[in-house]
Amino acid sequence: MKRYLKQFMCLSVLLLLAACQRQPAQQTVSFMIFGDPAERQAYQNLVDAFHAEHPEIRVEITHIPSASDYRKRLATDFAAGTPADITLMNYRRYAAFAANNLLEPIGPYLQASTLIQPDDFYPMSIQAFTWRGEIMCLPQNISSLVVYYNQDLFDAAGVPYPPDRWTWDEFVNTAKALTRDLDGDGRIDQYGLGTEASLYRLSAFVWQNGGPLVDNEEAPNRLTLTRPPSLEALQWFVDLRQVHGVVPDRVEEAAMDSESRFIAGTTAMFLNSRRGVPTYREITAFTWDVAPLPVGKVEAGILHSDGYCLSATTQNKEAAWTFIEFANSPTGQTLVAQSGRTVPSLISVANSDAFLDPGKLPARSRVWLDTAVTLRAVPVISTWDEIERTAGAEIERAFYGDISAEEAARLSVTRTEEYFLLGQSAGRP
Amino acid sequence: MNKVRPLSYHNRLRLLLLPYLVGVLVLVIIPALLSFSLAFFRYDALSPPRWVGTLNFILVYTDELFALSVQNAAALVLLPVPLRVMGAFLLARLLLRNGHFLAWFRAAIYLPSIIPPAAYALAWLWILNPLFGPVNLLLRSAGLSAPAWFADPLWARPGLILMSLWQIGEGFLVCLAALQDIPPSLEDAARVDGANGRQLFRYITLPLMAPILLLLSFRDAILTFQESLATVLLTTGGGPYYSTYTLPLFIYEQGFDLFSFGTASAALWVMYLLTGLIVLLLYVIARQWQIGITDEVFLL
Amino acid sequence: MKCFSFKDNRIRLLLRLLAALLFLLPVVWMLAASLHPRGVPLPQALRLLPEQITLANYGRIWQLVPLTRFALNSLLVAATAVPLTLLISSWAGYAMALLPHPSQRRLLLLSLALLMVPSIALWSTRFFVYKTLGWTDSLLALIAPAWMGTSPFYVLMFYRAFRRIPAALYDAARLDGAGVLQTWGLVALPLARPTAVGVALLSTIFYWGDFLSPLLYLSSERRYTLPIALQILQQMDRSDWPLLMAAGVVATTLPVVLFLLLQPYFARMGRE
Repeated sequence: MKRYLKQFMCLSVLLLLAACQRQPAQQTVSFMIFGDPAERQAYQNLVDAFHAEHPEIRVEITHIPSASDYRKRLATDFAAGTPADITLMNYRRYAAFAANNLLEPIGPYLQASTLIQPDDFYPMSIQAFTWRGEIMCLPQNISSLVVYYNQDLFDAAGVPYPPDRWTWDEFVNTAKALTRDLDGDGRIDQYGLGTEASLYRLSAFVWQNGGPLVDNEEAPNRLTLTRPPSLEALQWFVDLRQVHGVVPDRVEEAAMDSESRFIAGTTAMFLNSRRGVPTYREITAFTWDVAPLPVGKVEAGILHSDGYCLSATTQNKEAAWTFIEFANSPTGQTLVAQSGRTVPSLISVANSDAFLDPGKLPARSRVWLDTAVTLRAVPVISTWDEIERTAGAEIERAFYGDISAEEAARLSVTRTEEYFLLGQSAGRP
Repeated sequence: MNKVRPLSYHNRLRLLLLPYLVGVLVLVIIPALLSFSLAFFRYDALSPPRWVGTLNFILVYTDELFALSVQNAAALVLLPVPLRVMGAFLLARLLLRNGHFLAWFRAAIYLPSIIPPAAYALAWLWILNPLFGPVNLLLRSAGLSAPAWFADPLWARPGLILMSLWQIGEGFLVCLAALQDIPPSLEDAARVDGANGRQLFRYITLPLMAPILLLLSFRDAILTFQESLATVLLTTGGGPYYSTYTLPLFIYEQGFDLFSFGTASAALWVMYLLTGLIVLLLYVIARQWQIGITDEVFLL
Repeated sequence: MKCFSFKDNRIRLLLRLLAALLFLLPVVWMLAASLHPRGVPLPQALRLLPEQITLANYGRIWQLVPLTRFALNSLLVAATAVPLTLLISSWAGYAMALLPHPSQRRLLLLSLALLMVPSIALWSTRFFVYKTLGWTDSLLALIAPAWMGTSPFYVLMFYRAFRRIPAALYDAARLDGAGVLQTWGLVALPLARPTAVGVALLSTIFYWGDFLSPLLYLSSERRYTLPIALQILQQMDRSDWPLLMAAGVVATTLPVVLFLLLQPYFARMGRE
């Protein structure tokens, strides 16, 4: 028995060893991203250009299709101590990892760089990735929420295109004029507007109405949607559906979401960040453009930004930094900007033709740069994802008429309190 | 090892068990023990675990979402399981004896059960699409009102139940096998005694099938309870407004979204205990009915 | 309760036909939607097939994702894991069926207890095991469950099948000088063929459809499997139903073909 056992064990051990022996090449750097194929292609181009310049380093892209899977992967990878060397993370997400010292601060590398310096970037984007005084990740973009609009539908309805500065009322009236029952069957065939009913979308309007989102931006303890100006903004947002009916109802949205409706040419305006551009550029059926958000009492926009984060456990920190540096040098950011995906965080690239290319849609890309000074960021706290999701569920219910805006505001505040307690923020360990 | 003694017959048999036992140890027992022991630690997978005693159980117990998730999980087990088992049984009865195309008909019943989960979920997202989906078009053309299914908190659960009713292939085969085991002579004898079809069913078939149906129900309940996560993740994601938020999803979100593996593990204990309860109930009933449990359980 | 007697053959045939059609509906609807041309608005009136029919959606999948590679990976996983599963679960089931009572009982209880462990309890901690073995980001991580026969359930299926074979047959083989392995391969397995076919089909469906393991344990795209393709496409456009249904049909093809090939065995399963 013993001998057979021994033989068997030897065999299994050998098999295991064989599996273990595949050592990675010396200078391989892994790079994890998520997004659709058009975005993926943009990063592939970036990596190809990098290989041409730095043949000694190999960058391997790990592409995770969906954002929720991406988070799951990040969690398991970091837990197992095998995260990708470089991960692309939104500023709303990196706090959980930064709080646990899993990210290597990028500040010192940036200071030592001969290619780029902190001053080359829009300060807002760097600030969003600054965790307790240190630059944690390097922002690739300074995108924000804008209004995409279908020019053909505006023309058909005889409605003028949105101006560079417009009010909430003008925005609602435009949406109303573009919400139409084309065949007279009593059913709306074309909506004036499409938007997610989420906290992230709502935030800009709360700020524009002079309301706060949280009680303390540096060390937040609760949402403040119940404060009168914030609640007023929520009510206005909810009224888009409940009073004006300019966005699809829940059933229609579930059957075909607003982004698909916009692409299909049956929704006139759609709220999104720069992210949609590579996909919308493939539209051939109509011409589209972007306009800034309407302005309320105060000018305010909401920052959308992703950063290159370096894992603390990475073996090849220097090689990884070389790639991050390249990706965010004028050469690298120009490449990604040409795909349409980003509003470059480098001021020089943002003002170049790579981003403002007059030959490509959207024609009014300048909108992003003109409003950059008014941008604000949601607080950086490790549990922000849960806060957004929990509050979002309530906002959605109000948006689709299940509960009142007051009720939604109250529930969002109480249901998220626990997550604020659990979370660590830049201002509170 | 100087003297080579031939292995005894039984030890050579045990050697065949070895790969299974090693595999089970490495792939189930060790990971499961690790998972279950995390209930007593605060562990976010990012920093080292810290002992917290029974705190996680208290946290879970006082979590509103946890209570809701248990209720939802119960509803999603109690409603569909009887329907699935009765459906499988009636179909097996219908397709028991010879006839034209019998094999093809049986294959058709089993077919939905072999569709990969991701494709099956996609298919039903389409079938139950509120505006364009064939089910709602069918309802509307019949003049009925068409629910919004996965977009409506009231209809999401019925939607999930409906889609589970098409994947009953295993139960169907088990019932088919069990029905074939009933000797035809028994029915013939009853018929000679003047029993009609209804009486045959009531006094011969049903009593003989009852233990199988019971066991099938329990197995289905355990599987539905534990493994419903994939379907929920692929279709409703727990929504709309928590209406399909089930216990496995609670565990999943605590772990993978909140990085709170301690509370996830505490909820896992609850789930394991509830499963144990179902099995215990099965055992007690089987004892009462004097079913040869060891044999019949493994038929399923 | 008349319906339970099915005396009239024609009524019975009709009922059978209706039941079969009802169960084919999901597949039929999936197929029909996959033929809808791109860009044409989805109809809001009931019809079985779209007005215009096109196979273009099937072609588009290949342009959007490296489907051939994903499918080959899936195939490789299934082709390795299924035979391994058959070998290991039938060995274990065979040993369990023939071992004397106390060991047998212990093994049965063990297998039952293991069946009760929810798979969610294993996801994150298995990661550590795979990492220790160096199996992360390799198809080995997807094949790994086959080392334990995939599921104790399959072992129990074999156990039951081997127990139903008269003990005299095993004894006769032993008296003829056949070893343990020979008896298993030459006597037991051929008699348990329907069970083996059943386990093969069930495990093929499992490995072919597994969508969580690749998401959790793989990082290189060139190792992704077919279910990931569905998620990539869904991520691109959740409302492009014709394309998604075409992908669903592609992912379903292999199990269906396999099932139809094995169907004669499978319909008989349980009778022996």
